[in-house]
Parts: sequence; C-alpha cells; structure tokens
Amino acid sequence: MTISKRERFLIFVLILVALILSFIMFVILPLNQSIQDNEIKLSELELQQSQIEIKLALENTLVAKREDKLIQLNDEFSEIEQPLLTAEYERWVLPLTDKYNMRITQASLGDLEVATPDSQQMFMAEPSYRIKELVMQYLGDSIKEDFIPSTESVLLKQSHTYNVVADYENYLSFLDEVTEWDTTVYISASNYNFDVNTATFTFDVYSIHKIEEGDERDYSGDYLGDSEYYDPTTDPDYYPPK
Amino acid sequence: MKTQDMNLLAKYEEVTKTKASQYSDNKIYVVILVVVFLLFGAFSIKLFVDNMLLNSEVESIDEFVNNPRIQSRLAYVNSLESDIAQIEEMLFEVESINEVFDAGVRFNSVPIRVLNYSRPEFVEFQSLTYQSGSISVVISGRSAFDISNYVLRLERTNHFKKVSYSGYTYDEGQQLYFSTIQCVLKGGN
Repeated sequence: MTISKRERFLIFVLILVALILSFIMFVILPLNQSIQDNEIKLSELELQQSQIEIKLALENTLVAKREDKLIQLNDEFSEIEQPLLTAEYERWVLPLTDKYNMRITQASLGDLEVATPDSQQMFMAEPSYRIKELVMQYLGDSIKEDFIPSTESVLLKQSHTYNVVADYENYLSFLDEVTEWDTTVYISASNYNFDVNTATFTFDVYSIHKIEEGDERDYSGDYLGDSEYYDPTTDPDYYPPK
Repeated sequence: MKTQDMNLLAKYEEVTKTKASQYSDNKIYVVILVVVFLLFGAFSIKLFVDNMLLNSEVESIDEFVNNPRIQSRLAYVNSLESDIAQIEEMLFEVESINEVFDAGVRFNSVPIRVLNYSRPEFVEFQSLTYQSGSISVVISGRSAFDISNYVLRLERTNHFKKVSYSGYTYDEGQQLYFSTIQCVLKGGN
C-alpha cells in the first residue's frame, strides 16, 4: 500500500496534534494544577509559619504581661471582700458590739444577692435656666455638673440590720471602727434616737469571688463574748472518743 | 510510427527521486515530532522539578507548623493570650466597681461631730437618721432663728454637699420649735 504525500502530511499533523494534546492534557495541565495547589498551600503555610513565629516571639512578653495584669487584678480584688457566710460576718460585728457595750435587741440578716454597687451618693441637680447660663457665661464660670460614678458590673451583696441599745459616744466609736475595716462593708443606713439611746445599723456587705484568696480572717472556734474565744478542736473532752 | 522502446533509466530515476523525496519528508516529520517531544518533555521536566521543589518546601514548612513541640508552645502562647483577655475583662469589671466604691460615702462619726460642734446653744438633737448618703437630723430649738442659724453654720463648714430644711413647727406644750435638717454627704471620703 502506498501513501500519498498529502496523506503522510495529514498523518504527521495528526500525530503532532495528538502528541501536543497528550502532553498538555496528561502532563502539563496536571503538573500546573499541582504547582498552583502547592503554591496556595505554601503561601498559607508561610502565613501560618510567620504567625506562629510572631506568636512564639511574644511568649516572654505575654508571660510578663499576664503577671503584670494579674498583680493589677489582685490589687483591685484586694479592695473587695471575698464571699462570707452570714455567721462569719457576725464574727466581725459581735466583738465590736461587745467592745462598745451595745446590746443587740434585734438582728435581721439578709441572704446573698447579686447587685450593682451603690456609692450612697445623692445626685445634686442644680436648677438651670437661660439667664443663669448667660450670667455664668458672662462671668466666665461654668455650671458644675454633679457626677456620680456608676457601673453595670455586678457583685454579691448582703444586707444585715441590727437594732441596738447604745450610748451616743459608743455609737460614734462603732461607726468609726466599721469605717476602719476599710473594706467593702458599708453602713448604708443608720439611726440614733437620743431619747431612748437606741440605734440601728444596716450594713451592706459587698463581696466578690477572686482568683487568689486574700488573708482570711480566723473564724475557728466559738466566740464567747467580751473578746473571748473557745476552740473545741483543741478540747479533748469536746468530741466523742474515736 | 510509434516508438515501442522502454526508457528504463528515466523510470528508475523517477522512482528514485520519488522515494528520496518521500524519505526526506518523513525525516522532516520525524525531526519535527522529536523536536516537539523534546520541547514539551523539557518543559514538563521543568514543571516537574518546580513542583518537586515546591513540594519539598511545603513539606518542610508543614513539618515546622505541625511539629508537636511548636504546637505545644503555640498552645501555651494561645492560652496566655486567652488568660490575658480574661484578666483584662475581669479587670475592667472590677475597676469600674472600685471606682464606684472609691467615690462612695462612708458614714462615720465625722459628719455627726460636725453637726454637733456647729450646733447653736439652744439647739438639741432629737434623732438622727442616715440613709442613701444623707443625714436627716431632727432638732429642737427655742426660737425660729435657731433653725436657720444652724443651717447656715452647717453650710459654712463646707463639709456637706448640701444642707437643707423644709420648715419647722412650734410645739405649744414643750414651747420648742422642731425641724428636720437634711445634710447630703460628699463622697470619696
């Protein structure tokens, strides 16, 4: 069989096209796709690597920052009392009532509740009108607005009320000693009747859970009055023998 | 007369020329095909090598990224960041609470002593009530001006945010004037 020149040329073109297409379809395109995929993967990994390297480089800074912030937080926490049982709180008040010869006639002890802190400040709004504003403006004065800080943050609160019989000087000393506790126990209401020498105190006890517990008061033993304590755990006769 | 001779030489030359031309064409085709194959092959090899290099680079970075030691350090750094975020959130809350407390009123004996020392001679305390940052003191006086004198004295101490009263009554039986004076305490003490 003889093949004409034209047929040979066509076969050549066919083979050439088939060869080129085979290369493109089975070698070049898959390799190209793989390269593109790898490039995307590489850029992602490089980004990830640089992020990791930046983060790892920050390790020591972050450790120091956490320590600083923790100290700052504990300082802020230390200004607020940690949660107390009502009976534990009584260990604060009862020795004081003994010290100032007060006789408790009634005590009303509240439960723990969640509340926003109250600064006990009364907001003073000065009446304002146009001429006053103009006068102030003319004199170069400005109207001072009363400002009372407030917060949406909440913490724990208990309210306890005591009615006592006390003389006036002891009443005053008692108030001062509560202030000297310098913690988040506030006298939110009080009354003194000069005719019958009776007083009432309402304590707002604010408390908060902390990361590190502060110096806790000693609530062990029994309080016997007149600043005397009794610790049953050290008394061999108190507990039944094992 | 028609010539019946055969020119074999001419025929031979013609066939040889045709074959030579045919072989020459085939050669060109083969050369072209080989050249194309080599070009594409070389390009493919280049792509293959590039891909291999990329692969090895990807593997080396992947090895770094997924290295258990690096991952555990990263987890530690992430936990540090999360700790700091939590601490900052707590700090923000506690600071805002302490701001309120710092500006708060602490009721102690000082305002009562100020009330007492500023008291005019004939003014007596009947009762004293503290609530919501304000002291209300019920007083008695021998005359109506005892009340206003007392309020002005208290005002002059500059100890209170505001001193006010809303009137007074006279008790015929006791022959005394009674009034309630309200003293608003300043915060931040």
